Amino acid sequence: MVNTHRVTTLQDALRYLDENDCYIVNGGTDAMVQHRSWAETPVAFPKDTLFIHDIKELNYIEAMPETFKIGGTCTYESLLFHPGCPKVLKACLELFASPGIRNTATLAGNIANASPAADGLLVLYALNAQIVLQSRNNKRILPVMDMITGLKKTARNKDELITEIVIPTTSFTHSYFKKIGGRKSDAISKVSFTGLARVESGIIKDIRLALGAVNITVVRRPEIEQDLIGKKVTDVISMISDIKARYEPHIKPIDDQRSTSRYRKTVAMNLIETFMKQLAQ
Amino acid sequence: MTETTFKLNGETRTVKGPHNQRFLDVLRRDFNLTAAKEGCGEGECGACSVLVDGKLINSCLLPLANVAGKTVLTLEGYRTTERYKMLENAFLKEGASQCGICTPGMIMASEYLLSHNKNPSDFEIRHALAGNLCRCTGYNMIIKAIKRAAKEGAALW
Amino acid sequence: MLKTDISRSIDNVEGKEKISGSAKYISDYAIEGMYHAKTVRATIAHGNIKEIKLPHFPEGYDSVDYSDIPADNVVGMINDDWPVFAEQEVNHIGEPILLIVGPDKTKVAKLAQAVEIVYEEKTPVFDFKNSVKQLAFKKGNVKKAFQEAKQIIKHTYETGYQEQAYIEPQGFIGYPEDAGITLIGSIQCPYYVKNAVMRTMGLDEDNVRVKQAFVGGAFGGKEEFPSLMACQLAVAIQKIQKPIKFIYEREEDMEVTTKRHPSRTVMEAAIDASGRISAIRSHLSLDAGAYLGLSEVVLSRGMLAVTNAYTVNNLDVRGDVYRTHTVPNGAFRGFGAPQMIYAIEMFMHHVAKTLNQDPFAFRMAHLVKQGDLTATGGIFRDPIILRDMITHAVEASDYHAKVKKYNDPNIFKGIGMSWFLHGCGFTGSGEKDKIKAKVTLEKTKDDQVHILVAAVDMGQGAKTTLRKIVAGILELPIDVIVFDNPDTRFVPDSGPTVASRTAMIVGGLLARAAKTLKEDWITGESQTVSKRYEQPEYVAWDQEKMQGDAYPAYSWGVNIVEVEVDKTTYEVDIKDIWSVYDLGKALDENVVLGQADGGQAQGIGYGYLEVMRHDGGRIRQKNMTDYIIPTAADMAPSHNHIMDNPYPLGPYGAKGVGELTLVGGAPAVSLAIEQAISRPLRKIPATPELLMEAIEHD
Repeated sequence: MVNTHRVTTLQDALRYLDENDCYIVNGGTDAMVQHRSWAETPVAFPKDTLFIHDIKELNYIEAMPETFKIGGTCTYESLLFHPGCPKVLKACLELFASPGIRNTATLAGNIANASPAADGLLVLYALNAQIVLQSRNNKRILPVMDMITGLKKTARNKDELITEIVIPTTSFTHSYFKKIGGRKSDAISKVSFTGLARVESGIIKDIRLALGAVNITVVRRPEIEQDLIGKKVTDVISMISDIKARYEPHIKPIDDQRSTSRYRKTVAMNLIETFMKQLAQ
Repeated sequence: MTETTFKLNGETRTVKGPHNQRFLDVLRRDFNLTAAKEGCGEGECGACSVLVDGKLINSCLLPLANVAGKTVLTLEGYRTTERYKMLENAFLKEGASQCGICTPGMIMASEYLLSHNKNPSDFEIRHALAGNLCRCTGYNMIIKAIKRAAKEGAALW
Repeated sequence: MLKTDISRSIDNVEGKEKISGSAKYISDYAIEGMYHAKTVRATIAHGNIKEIKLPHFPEGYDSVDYSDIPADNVVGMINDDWPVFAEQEVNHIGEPILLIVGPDKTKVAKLAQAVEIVYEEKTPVFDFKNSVKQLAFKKGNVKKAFQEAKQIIKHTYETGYQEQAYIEPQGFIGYPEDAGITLIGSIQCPYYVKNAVMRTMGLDEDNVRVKQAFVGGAFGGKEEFPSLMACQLAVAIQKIQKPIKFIYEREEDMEVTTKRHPSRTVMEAAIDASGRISAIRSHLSLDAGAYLGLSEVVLSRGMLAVTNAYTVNNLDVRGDVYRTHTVPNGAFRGFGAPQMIYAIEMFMHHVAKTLNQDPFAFRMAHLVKQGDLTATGGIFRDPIILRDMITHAVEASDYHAKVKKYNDPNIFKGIGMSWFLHGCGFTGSGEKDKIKAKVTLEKTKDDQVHILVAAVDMGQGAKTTLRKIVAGILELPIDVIVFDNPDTRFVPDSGPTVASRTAMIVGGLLARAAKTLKEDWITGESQTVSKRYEQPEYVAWDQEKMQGDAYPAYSWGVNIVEVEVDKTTYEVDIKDIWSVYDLGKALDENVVLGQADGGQAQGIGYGYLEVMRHDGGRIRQKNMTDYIIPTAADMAPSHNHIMDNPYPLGPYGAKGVGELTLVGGAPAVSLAIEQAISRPLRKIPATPELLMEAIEHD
């Protein structure tokens, strides 16, 4: 029998985390499925469990000129309805699961689970999001790419809580989000793609490509992006096959019950091409 | 023993028992509120939908801990309202319920949609029902029913 | 009073209970002091059980296995090969070996987990190798037609599993009652359950009582499978003498219950000098899984659909049921016909293409007409209005113009059409020889009329339509006609709720009973009228040779589906759906339109969306996350049209509805996709993965 503890303040949460090795449940939409047992019996969490979803002080969205900040217990649905929500994140959220899930699922929970198919995570990679981790005596900020360390692994220490996600405000001329699930809604991604770019006077000033469900974590390659910055979009068209070839070694999807490796790879490559062509339009 | 207190269909209730229970089980076993059904147990089918603080939630994924201090409305509480009656009539007239197992969840999802979008388009309805699976109807008659309720009950939402 | 047209919709008689959440489904039942049962299952595909190590059972907990069965360890169906519990040999992953029963679910689950089973593994078979049933029939002179053929065209078509995916998993609750056992279940066929339990338990009919709870979707999935659960539960109740609840969870349900048979159909056509099909050789292979169940009858219905709504004078049709070490397959709306209708509709199109003929004209040239011989040499006696139905669908959808426009390979759009028939009622002389349906109308002293039949309303509206028939004939208001969920203690065996027979056969018997009751009506007296099925004399069927009239009547349909395929992701977008149906006469328009929308969604989903496969006998898509059924966002608006063509022997002219609306969806959507990608398809589901392979690697 595991012990459970519910907190409503950040201070209590951090104290509890400092004193206990525990499993954290936020909205619960993943945790309740992963550890479900027979219907009508309690969910079998792996160890003592801390419920944090009702920490009110983390349930906020703060749209500032420089940053868009999302508190650790803020749900997807409240993000979706926030007028300041970045366009590409909104596009992702509209296709995310279903209203019932969005009303409890949190972006912080999505990060903590570090699933390679998590659509929210993909967008955070593209937006250069920063993750705020707080413990009783410390606070640190990690870029999302450093936060995710492997398949379902993160850099979070066991006494830390994801308290905030910070998205730097950036304007893009091109914003593309594509989710390919088994059906049009209520589905887990087979492949997902985010492309963002700022093109001024035909020159690429900023470009970011992120691909989901094609490797153990989200794929983003800053070195390839760097080489495209400063190029003319008209020149990029002739480079598409070269760009695809550079991404190719990083696209290593699996065969599973939802799709095939070949399909995921082919579509990932097609999406890179589609996005590159959009730039020239 | 852990105690959890919340408002259920207008009344304050306290449940003794572990935090890590699914709220769906609490509703069905402790309160004999069986309108919410278990279809899949993993938040895909929406048959267990209830409203928590006015928001549509899959009660099979809701730990009891996260209900503390909240206001819960199940179909049993909702069905006494004028809005429900409008939806009931629309579902009847459009033949929107066949086997009926998904219907309670569909009603809750309809209420959630109409409560923040009084005049939804077909597209908006289809996506608002994305988390409520129905295997009998192919959805078209449900969509018609929601449109009918929105039209005939324009003053209610 | 129902003086108006019978088709005019009334509010579904169970609607308020269902919409308000007060209808009681099986999981909503609870009995004071009840126990819970959980199944311990085989974890290998094939082998022998060497040893079962049971944990220590605390008081009140016990296991139940084959050794507790009082009579036969057989689930009574057509063949006797399906055990209630595995004895020594196990033949599929998930095969039930024993139950753990006790009062506390957490403890029951722990005990079930602690059971250890040692196996001696054997090599499983997964392909079409081990044929256990063979059927065949012929028409005309196939040999001669092939000898004289100008051209021979041959293709093979494959279909995958389809899961019924009713939203309510299977379940029962049962308790000891007097000297016997009472079971309440989510079931389609109360008497199938009752008969199976009597056989396993060695109990007589007075000691087994079966009641139907509200059924949260079935689609064939609750036809024969519930008999297995019921037999197991009956054994447990007999042993433990407590009320026991036995509800499957979603994953368990998807892994171990029956599904639509995967199939392979070889079609070979002889083309004569005029460019028409003179003969077809066809072979249908079905994967039965580990036990036969109803597979032989599914095969038969599939083969009988070989020429669908076409007339071909020379036929050689064969079929095999293969046993594999996988979950047993069984009944699912359409019952073999969806596999064959997919094959023949695609084949007709592909043959036309090969012959450089216009597919529409080619198919029209072979269209069946009244008076033609059926595939088995029976006669299409009743008027056929398919030509008018096709015309209607073609005009409503602007089919021809779209076909022309979408032939441009660069626009990735397509429109596909199927037309089809479905035989109503049991195949051949099944109604007369096997089912022998009986219905009763019981009038009470207060002049209420009770419908006593074993037919189940599982969402298809049986309670609404059957009550309308009786009310209409008696010229009484609908609310004095009572139709409670069947309880075998009170209702006669009017047969199972399957095979598109409820409206036509059961409804027809009720109409006859109602006419008699009306003639003999005495106000204020209790009266009872019963009727038994009588086969129309002209219907003659030779089961051995598969010759004659396979069905007393046919319903007909046309489906048109329009799609767009995404060039980047190969995803299919369903844009629009048109359909036209001849089901004799609609007993209630909303009921029929609801069947149309729902059946089409399942049929179209079968064609492009719903993937289920096994890996070494283990089902890979075993929950609602991974087994993809359409959501509201996946389906398109539909334009459904009903054309009256009353069947003289049906109540108010009604024929079968339920299955018809599913069988044409897969070929319609496949043909649309085929046009959109400008490449032939011979396999369903036509998933984005399959389309990608076709486009990128051809």
